[in-house]
Amino acid sequence: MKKEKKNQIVMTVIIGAVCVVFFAVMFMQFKTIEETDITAIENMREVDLRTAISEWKGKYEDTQKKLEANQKSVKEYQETIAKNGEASELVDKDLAESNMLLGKTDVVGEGIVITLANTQDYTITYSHLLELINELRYAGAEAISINDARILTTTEIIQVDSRMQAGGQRIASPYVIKAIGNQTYLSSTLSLKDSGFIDRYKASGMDIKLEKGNNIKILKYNGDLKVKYMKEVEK
Amino acid sequence: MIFIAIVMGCILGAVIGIYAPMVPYTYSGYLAIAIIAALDSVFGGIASTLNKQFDLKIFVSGFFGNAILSMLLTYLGQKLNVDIYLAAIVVFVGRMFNNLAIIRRYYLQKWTSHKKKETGEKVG
Amino acid sequence: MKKKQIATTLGIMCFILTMCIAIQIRTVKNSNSTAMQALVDDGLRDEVLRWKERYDNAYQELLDSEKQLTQVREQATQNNTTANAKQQQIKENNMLLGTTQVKGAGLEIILADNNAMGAGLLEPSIILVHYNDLLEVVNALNNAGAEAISINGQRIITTTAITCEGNVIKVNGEKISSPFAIKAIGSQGLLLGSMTMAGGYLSLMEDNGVIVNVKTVDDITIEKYNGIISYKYVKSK
Repeated sequence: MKKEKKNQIVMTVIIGAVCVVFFAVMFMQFKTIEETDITAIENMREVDLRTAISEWKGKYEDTQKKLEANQKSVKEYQETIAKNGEASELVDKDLAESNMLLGKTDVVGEGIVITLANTQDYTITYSHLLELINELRYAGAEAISINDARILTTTEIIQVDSRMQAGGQRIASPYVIKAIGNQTYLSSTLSLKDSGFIDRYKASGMDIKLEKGNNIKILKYNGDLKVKYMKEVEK
Repeated sequence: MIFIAIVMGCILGAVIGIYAPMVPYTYSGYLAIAIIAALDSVFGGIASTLNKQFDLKIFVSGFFGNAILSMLLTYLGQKLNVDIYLAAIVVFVGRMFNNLAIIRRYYLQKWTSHKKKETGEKVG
Repeated sequence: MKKKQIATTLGIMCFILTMCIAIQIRTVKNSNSTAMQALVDDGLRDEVLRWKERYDNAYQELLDSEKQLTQVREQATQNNTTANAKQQQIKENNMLLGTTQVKGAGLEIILADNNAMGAGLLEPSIILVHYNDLLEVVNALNNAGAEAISINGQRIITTTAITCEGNVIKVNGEKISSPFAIKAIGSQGLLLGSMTMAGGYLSLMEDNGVIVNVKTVDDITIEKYNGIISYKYVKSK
């Protein structure tokens, strides 16, 4: 009788342990498969996989750098709090940085300048400009302006008859589009055969000029950015 | 009690699996085969319980033994340039269906005989 | 005598078998077989996943540290009105940049491929939503004064590109597909009026047969940008 009970306990424990192992392994596998699915690497070949690696690596390094900078400023703030000191210098620095990201300051850097001009038989429309901006962003442009009107997230380009406006500023042909970013990458993306902006529209007769520059200056956004309708969600 | 052990084991295992580090992709193929082998043992275990032939030793040794063996065979297959794992999947999944059929028949029989008894009682 | 015979036979057979295995393994190793390539690819897949995991962890840490930074900044500036105003300004900038989750009154637009209708058409692509349609809609929303926009959960920020690779649409490098839910925060009247305007872009799409659905939502939440904004080439003057 007693032996039977002991046997049963042993059996319970062993079966329980088997279940633990089984489910642990199964869920680990699920996780791997899910990650593989998310990164879509299942069907990639060697070359694509290598680019994917460098992409993730780059993202990781950027994040790590930002993280370190953040931790440093957290520390600086904490020190000023501890000393009961003035934090305005630190805040000024942070504000300047965030204004720069937003486009409220004049910036310089390497990049490209593209000039589009209306010709007798080809008129540039707002959708051309939209498309060009989108492609510049795809190529990693960090700051863009059209005829010195800075293009932000919320900048619209509209056309009423033949008059065009970018972010409320009137713009007219020739359109000088400046973009700051990796020169080589920007110009090669735009000049890609068949799929690049320049190649596509040059074929249909648009007047496009592309110049590289090492010291391109882009003016700040000429207006005020106000938050009226949205509120921050604290989490 | 065994039922509780099973449920507890499953939950604990799932939690460990979720918080454990990810399996490297290279080994995930082996793990998949091991899981299939283990799953086969589980269904085999259930089927033999129903037949009252359940033996813990056979179950546990089959559970781990089959898993490890199938992984080794997959490894060998990769070295030999043959997809042995396909054969392993065919065998294990085939057996799984067999065992599932046994389980299904057992419960179907139980259900029909139960029903017969019920109606028999009513008539009687 | 018989035992000896069996032993020799078995010995010879084992010898042959192991020899064959060894030869095969060597051949497979030396030749650039599909199995070898698969092994290399698997190794690379490992590495992709490892980097992604490291990125995920670092990103999680970054989110925590960002929260902490906002807190200490608030704490450090609470006694100084000008500094506090600047701190508020930073918060507002982050909302505009898209690095914080925001909510407010706004509009939700659903655009969907009209697959049912496409079958009999001469040009079936006009009932599909294309990447330039999304560009146009975002532009129209900006024109109506939208403060924050997202498409299928992808926040539109200054570096956002909407691209098309084959028949896959990507926003911020992430794949999205029909139906497209475009959310925007701003003046509801202005947004609704300009989006549903006769002859506007949405009505043109609807005429083409694309499924278009516009509704105002009083409390719409727009997710934050899922990544970091860091500039490498832009320098302040």
